[in-house]
Amino acid sequence: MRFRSVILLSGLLTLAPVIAAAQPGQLAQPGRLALPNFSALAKKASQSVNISLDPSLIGLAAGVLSADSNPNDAAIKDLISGLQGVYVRSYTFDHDDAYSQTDVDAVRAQLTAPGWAPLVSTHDRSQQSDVDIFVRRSGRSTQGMAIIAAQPRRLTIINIVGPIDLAKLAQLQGRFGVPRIDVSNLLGTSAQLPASAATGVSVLPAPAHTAEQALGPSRDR
Amino acid sequence: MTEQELEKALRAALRAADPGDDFADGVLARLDAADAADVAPAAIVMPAAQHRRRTPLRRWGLAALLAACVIAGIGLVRWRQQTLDWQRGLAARAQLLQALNIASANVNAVRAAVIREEEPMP
Repeated sequence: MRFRSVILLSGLLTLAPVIAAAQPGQLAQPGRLALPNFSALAKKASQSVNISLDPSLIGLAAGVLSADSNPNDAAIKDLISGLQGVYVRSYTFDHDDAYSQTDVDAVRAQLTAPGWAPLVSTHDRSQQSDVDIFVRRSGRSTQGMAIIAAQPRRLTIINIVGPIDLAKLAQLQGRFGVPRIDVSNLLGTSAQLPASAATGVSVLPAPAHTAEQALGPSRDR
Repeated sequence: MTEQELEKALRAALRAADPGDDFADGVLARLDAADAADVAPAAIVMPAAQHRRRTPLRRWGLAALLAACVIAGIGLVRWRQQTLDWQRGLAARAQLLQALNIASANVNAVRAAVIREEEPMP
């Protein structure tokens, strides 16, 4: 009897780390969106980006970042600490209306679930460009973020799972050794155009902080 | 043969006889020869490899060799795993940077739009 108890206890102790390690992955991640299969869009797109980084891959990336003495890498490592997933689907098309609104609706429907709240929504009437940022919050902690950027020739959906600092995220652009993406081109808004004539911005109330605070206190004046 | 004749013959056959002065030397020589005959064949029958395996040095050397092989195997597997992890980490880092760059660009675009909206037109 005692021998069986020892065997059982040994088995439980052996399996405990495995069970503990499996739990985070098996439990539903609150900030994670179930992104649809956009393979049909990928076939039509002239350029597509499909990035899926789960916690293990983020850990491997963090290990490489730790080994590098580049100060930018330290900032990135600070930003991604605690992240449980980064998922990007971005498609660029050669002609307008290559994708339908139903492709985006499957994602938007998930963002109406409790916990998700719209943070900022921008709409460019002239360029038919919409960028929406949603955050998933629990108390004062951010559990995830979603960005949906829809233009006639480009659709981008980003889902970052885990605590993310939008201000730090905004500061990282162009610091990776990667050319800075042209913001005006991304939004479809020319810097020369009168902003009020071309752009309609609606800042939606955020539960814990304002959009300005979330996007960064400093202004590019 | 009568009973008396048989008794006489036995007495004659079993009478005490002097073994001589070299009897003891002869017995000892035979004993040495017998010992030599008993030990030597056993040593010859034992296989040479079996005899060597029984030596402690050989036994521990073999165990150390096996342990070294096991350790080297584990080290090789771990080194290969670390190399694969490093390569996967480099690929993940590149994807992470691209993803963060796209996300950062979108956040900056919204931020710029918010700032433009809040600033009064000249």
